[in-house]
Amino acid sequence: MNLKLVPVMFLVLIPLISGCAGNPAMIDAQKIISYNQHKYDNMSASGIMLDGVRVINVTIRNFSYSPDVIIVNQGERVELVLNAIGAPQGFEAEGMQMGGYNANTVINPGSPVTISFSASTAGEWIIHSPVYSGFGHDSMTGIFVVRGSS
Amino acid sequence: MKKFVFAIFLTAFFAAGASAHSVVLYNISLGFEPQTQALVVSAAQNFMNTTDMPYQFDLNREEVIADFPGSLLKQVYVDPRNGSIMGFRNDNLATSLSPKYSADQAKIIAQKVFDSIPFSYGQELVYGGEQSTYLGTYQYSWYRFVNGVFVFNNFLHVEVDPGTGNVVFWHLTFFPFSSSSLNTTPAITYQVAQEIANIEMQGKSTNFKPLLAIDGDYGHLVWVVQTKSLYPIYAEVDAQTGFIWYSGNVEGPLDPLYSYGTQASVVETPFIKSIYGGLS
Repeated sequence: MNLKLVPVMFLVLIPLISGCAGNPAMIDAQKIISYNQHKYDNMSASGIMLDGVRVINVTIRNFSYSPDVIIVNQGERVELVLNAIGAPQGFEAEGMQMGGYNANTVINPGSPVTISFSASTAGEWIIHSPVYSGFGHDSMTGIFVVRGSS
Repeated sequence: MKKFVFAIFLTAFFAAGASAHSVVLYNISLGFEPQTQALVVSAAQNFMNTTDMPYQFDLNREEVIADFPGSLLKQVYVDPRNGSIMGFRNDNLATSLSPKYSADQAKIIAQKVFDSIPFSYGQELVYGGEQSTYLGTYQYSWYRFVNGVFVFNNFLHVEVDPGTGNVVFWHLTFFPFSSSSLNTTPAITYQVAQEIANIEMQGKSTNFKPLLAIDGDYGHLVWVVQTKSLYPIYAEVDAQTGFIWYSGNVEGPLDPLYSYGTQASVVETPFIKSIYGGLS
């Protein structure tokens, strides 16, 4: 056996062994996953950095969040300042831990609520309001993005 | 409350998946809109023929539920915009009397409820069969389909007591998205959707046959696939973008006879083609 061919054979065999080379669906899936993993990479993070804390002002009114896409980086300390306009509102990034924040908190107009937490877990969470503020409530959504550090 | 099982298995990487959000809220306040509250109370009281005041309001996909006092569930589903009735439940009407109505006879009673709903709803609903409930009632279901694609959480349910023929419960959900606004052509194949779920959730395919469906709450066309790591779990993979919107149990009632999906024609969009072509 020509030993010079061993490295070449090895390189050919790796993808075969991994099961990827023979599975076009898996290759396409990988491309889609990669796209979704990086789709926020070129966007600016939300808010401003103040003393090492990312401070983001969020305005909540019937029936929208502004900004409705909130982007922070994994590992950052985050301070969300939630302002309700017009009617009592709510804020929840469902399933995400935000320090000791109680997602059922009612945010009254004129009384901003501040949430402080560490963005330790990368991912995306749907933002919605656990506080009913009128017909149209279900259309009131946003996305909270913690951009991975890798 | 509709809670999702978030993808904790994705924490090592950027998670390409998000939650579905809660569309059911309990004990909501209507105090900020006194006119709406008065409209809902009046409509619910008239329907129940009572002067009792609801002790609580809940929200179910934009419908306000007025809960009346009593040891058993007694509630009315109201459209808060105009006070029209979208359903009710009165478990006081469920009896343990021996059945006088066969399932077929009770179906005729349920059919009358179906016949009474607005045509705009009825024309998109397809009868989905009957099953028994924990109360001993027969439940008849009609599900919404658009171009043959099942729509989650858009339905009419009717329950009939077999001892008395009473309608104990019926509920017609809103259809938040018109049929013309819903896309029913997937841009990725079910095989790709299955692989996305397998990779993201570190699982393997099961014998579950993928289904094409529409998330009735948000209008997304999704592939419903199942993957198994420790145990089988469903994922709703966006059929246009490959994004995992939801994972957990199948959300909402699913027509048990529904099987459409793997035979659906796939038309790759420019967006998907660009991803396959190397955009990242």
